[in-house]
Amino acid sequence: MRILKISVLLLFASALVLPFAFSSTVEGQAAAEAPTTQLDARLGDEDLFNGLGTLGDPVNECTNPAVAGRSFRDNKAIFEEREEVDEGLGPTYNDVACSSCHQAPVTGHVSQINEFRAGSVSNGVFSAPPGGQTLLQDRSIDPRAQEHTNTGLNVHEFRSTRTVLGDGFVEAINSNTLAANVANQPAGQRGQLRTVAVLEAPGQNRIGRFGHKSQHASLVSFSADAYLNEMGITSPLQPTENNILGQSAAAFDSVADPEDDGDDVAAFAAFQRALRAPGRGPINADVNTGGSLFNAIGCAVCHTPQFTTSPAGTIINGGAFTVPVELGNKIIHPFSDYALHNIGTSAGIGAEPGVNDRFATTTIALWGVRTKNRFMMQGNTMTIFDTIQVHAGQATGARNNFNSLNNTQKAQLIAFVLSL
Amino acid sequence: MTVTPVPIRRIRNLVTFFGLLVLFGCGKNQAPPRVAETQPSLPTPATAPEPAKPAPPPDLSQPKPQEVQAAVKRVFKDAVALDVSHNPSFMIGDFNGDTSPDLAVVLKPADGKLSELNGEFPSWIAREPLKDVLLPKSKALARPVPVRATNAAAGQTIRFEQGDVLLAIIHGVGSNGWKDPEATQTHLLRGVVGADMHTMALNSAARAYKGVKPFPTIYGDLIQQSLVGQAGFIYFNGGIYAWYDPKNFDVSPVTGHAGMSAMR
Repeated sequence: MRILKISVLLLFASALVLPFAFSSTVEGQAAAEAPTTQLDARLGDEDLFNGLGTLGDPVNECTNPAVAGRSFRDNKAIFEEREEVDEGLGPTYNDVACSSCHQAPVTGHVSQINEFRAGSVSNGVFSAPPGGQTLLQDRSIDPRAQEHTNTGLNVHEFRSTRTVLGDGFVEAINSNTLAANVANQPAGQRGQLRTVAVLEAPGQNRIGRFGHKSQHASLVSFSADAYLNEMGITSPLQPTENNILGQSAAAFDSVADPEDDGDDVAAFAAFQRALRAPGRGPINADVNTGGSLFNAIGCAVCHTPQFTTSPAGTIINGGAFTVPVELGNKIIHPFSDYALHNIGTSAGIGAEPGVNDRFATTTIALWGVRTKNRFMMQGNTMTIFDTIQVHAGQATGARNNFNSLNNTQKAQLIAFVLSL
Repeated sequence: MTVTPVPIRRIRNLVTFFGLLVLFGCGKNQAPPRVAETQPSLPTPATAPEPAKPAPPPDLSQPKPQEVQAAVKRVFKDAVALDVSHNPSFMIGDFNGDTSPDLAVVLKPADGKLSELNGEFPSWIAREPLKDVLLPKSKALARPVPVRATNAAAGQTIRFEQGDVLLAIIHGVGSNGWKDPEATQTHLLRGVVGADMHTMALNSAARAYKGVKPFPTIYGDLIQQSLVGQAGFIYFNGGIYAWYDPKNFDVSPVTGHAGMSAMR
């Protein structure tokens, strides 16, 4: 009997201790690498999907049309869907689908497409065009609605397409993590983080991270903005149609606002949250050496190599989103600090509130850069070498350090960048 | 030996207790913490808020030749020499429009130093703006195509030759401009030193060319001159320096689209 009692007690003790000794709580888990895509269109949806939600069945317009929010494949089909005029496209717009720009080599990544912005500068002071919108859409549904620059708009700027791959993980980075990273940057290179409104959580703000000026903090806000500004489709979060250089677009718009009831915006955001991060290309000894040089000469100050996302369960976006297990506590390698820096490559389009320097732009994430052949915000350099050379301003020191390397080291550093 | 039977109730209590413990452990494992992200206090950025008043104009006063020589040496070391056969042989302006004074200086390859100028990874961006504009129209400007490196990392796009006339534009850094020790960002242009070379301020250019179409987007001061019989100017287009004259300019991907530079 005594043996039986001792055995039962030991069993109890084990039951008490084991859950703590081998804890599988989210808090106790070591951070894990985020799943990555090989950026190979031939590998299909499985190579894009990070596991958040369900992958779903292939969408077929006849037998299995897309339903917003049903699955990753449904949301992807909506992200790729070509909008029509009777669905609200325009009156001014840049393209007909999210995937028109975020397309190659896999849906969600990049393209050669730039958007066009304009404004005027007089005595060093910037003014937005009439109507307040610096974005001049490249297309319209009626020739009378087409926006043109003019001699009064003496500052022009192009902004290249950024990848949305991995953006679910980027959204899940704690704002305090971004702030701590910037605080550790040398004073001369320190970037500016922006606090921006979370559209889906009225009255709530968060550190911005999406767009060339970090103008959005959440993927829902970002998607609603892009739907309006790139495709001209209004939604509950962006219910007002763009003007045409200050003139009302109503005469050209026969679809009542909001043109999307919110389902498409939700599907875009859900699709982006379920995307894997861009994966690396081949890595060899030169690439590894180049990576060390990238850190040593100061590139990595702004092109931050690594972040760990918030733990699952963290409430972000002003309470509008809770980080799920699939996105929480993941290590990602975006090579961006999501802060704004003046590196001398912007034309200075600056109508954004709270930005100290109109020439400052958000550090472009370098993950997946090997698939591009035009670089920098304006897409106006064609080689990594030229791209490095046009870095100035806060990046002057890093560029000069690059020029101090020997030819072998320069080739290794460029090989590293082209492996990302 | 007799075995005392364990009371059923006692066993039942123990099993219940054990079960509760297991349930408690499992529940603890699966529930993620629900903690709201807090607003961080933001560090002070390096860039100061834009002044309400316009910044004072940059110092565009004429420099001493020794200062020019020092700036050239900082970038090119001994690979080039000042070409003083041209007048002017150097000019100051804010050519890239960043409010920091830049230096434009006429150079020639130094004797016996072509290999340094033609290195695989130069510390400058080399271009031929006139060729970008005219080559599609004029075979007269065509030079033998240099052997190009097949390495995608290589930075050199031009094979310089002894006797080339070069225009280097050294971008300034901050209020010290091109004299700053860190001012090394340089564009090296071949074949764009012509007659009557002079600068035109951006504001003046905006007035002088008002209404002219087609016209490129210009970012800073211009270097006006006559080249191949055409009056025009060298201008920064946001990425590289390009040539404009009213006869040959078109909004092509090469010259008019914000630095869509041709790689020749």
